[in-house]
Amino acid sequence: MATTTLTAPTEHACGPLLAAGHTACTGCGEALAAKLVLGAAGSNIIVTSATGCLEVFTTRFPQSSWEVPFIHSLFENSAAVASGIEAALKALGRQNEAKVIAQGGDGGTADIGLQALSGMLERGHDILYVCYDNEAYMNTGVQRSGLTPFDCMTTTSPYGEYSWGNKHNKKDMPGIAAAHGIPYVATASVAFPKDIENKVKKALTITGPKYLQIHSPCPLGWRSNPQLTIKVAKLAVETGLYPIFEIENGKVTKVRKVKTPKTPVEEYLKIQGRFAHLFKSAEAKEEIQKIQEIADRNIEKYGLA
Amino acid sequence: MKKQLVQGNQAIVMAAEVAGLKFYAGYPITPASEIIHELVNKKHIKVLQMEDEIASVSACIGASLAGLKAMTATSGPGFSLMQESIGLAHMMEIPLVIVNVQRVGPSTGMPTLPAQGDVIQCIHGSHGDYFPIVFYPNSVSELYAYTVMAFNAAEESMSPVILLSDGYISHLYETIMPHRDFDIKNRSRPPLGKGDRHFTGLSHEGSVPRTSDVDNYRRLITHLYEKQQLVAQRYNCYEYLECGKDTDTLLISYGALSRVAYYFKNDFALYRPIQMFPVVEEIKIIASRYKRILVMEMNTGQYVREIECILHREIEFIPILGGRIDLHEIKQKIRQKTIERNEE
Repeated sequence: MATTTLTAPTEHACGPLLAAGHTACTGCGEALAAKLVLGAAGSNIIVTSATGCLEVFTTRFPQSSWEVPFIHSLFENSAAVASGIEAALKALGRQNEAKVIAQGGDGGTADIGLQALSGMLERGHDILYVCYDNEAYMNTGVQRSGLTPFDCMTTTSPYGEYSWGNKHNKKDMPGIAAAHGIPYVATASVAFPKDIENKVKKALTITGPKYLQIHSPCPLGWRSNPQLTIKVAKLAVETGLYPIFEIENGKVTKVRKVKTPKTPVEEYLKIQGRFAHLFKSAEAKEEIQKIQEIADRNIEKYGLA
Repeated sequence: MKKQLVQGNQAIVMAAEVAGLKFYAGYPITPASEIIHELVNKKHIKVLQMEDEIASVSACIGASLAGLKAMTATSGPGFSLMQESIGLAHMMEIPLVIVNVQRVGPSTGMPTLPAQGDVIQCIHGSHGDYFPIVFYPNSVSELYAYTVMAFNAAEESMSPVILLSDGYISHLYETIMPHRDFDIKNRSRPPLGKGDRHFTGLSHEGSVPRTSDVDNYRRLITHLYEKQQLVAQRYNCYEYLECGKDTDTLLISYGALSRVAYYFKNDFALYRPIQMFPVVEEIKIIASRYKRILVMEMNTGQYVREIECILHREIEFIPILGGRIDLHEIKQKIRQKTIERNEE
């Protein structure tokens, strides 16, 4: 009798599990991040994906880039659909056949999908949730999200006479995830591909809910040079604006240190159009100082120095 | 006053300002996002970007209660998320405007091609009985005018009024005359602190919950129904074009698709509901003049059922499923229907 397998064949003749030929923009950080996640996870996985750029550019008719079982859910329910898959696999006694990975962008994770994610983390599903953080709703036209950084210009947080851009601080999503008491929370950046791979591999050896947030520059939305995606991502980490760490069972266990003397945040801000308004006037210097303080607080909080 | 070339979504914003919009809450979704993009640049309108559409319409309920004219805009998926709160707004009698720029569904469907699949959802999307007023214009200048009507009707009926649009009309650029010659209705509900102080989605009498008094519940629903009918009768908007030559056929369509129907104005009489719900009663009189009623819409038959219900007679239906409006396809389908009819 023929047996059905849940996942794609292990041996892959056709190359990466996120196949080339998708329609991501030049210099897309998210495409790179997703490719690294899948590569590290291997073919024994089932993935769900919230609506967003990743889903759009990888599934252009009549093709799909996904060489693994792929479920495009709605915007808000990637974590809940994944919860159902994982629970059903357990009920069927097939949980050893495949790992479940739920994916979402920053809006689909921190805003509309937060409730579903919280439920998934609380119930203790054996799922790796990956948030590709490009810091705004890029698919619908660059609107701010809960993970958009302070003073960043987007279509719904414009710079002008009454505004310096996004008024609110970036939501501490890793902190929120960790507060659920889950075994593994980590941040990563496309600037450090090996680190992403190691974190995915490590996460998949841990039973229970895991949360991984990957900083993924979007040249279109950030108005940065597509050639500089990796440089931009690296500077976010080196300035302390995007701290890279692991939290295991509530404790910070590992961080990526920043160099001393520290890199001033201007180095990161000035190469992106979304912060260009901070270099146009003398008053803007104060705003840059506020952003420097955010970086300094991160460095202190996570012991990055 | 000068004519202006504006996009459909932009016209909604311009008219909302005229109508007295002071509060907007929304969530990004194509093809409605231009509305929030325009509004964030207006300093006298409070704009909140919420975490989803449930929160968007809920914030509008709060703001409307607190004393501001409120609006939210979305597309089909977001409209689905709003449904429970829309029921709440009807039960609490909250004036607000909900714009739904329709795209192809169900689910994520074909973002962001146009469709007309949310027609029935407008009146039956939430549980229980409620009776929304729904307008569906077919041009940019009508979007301008009916946005104001929607705000007025919301105040008059103290209920959430739905302004339907679609991916075509909302993304269309047309010249409009942005006049301000409207009779703008004032706020009908006193702001919090000056009137009732208890509001609930439970069945209630006055502002006090009465959750096991069936007679009171029946009175409440009757009141909600009659109030909506009364206000809707003041609008009763439709377009009816008699045919130049003798015809026995009335062609009914609405929204984006009705723009193509104008092509048939020399062959058929045309009827276009602008107030989709409550269904305009005049259709009975108009339809009585024609032997044959032909309805076309961009779904598998949503409004045609309403027409059937009100006319109690056989209606021919032409579905033009969402995504594309093609004159040749429509001509062919009408021809095919006519042949079938003649054969019978």
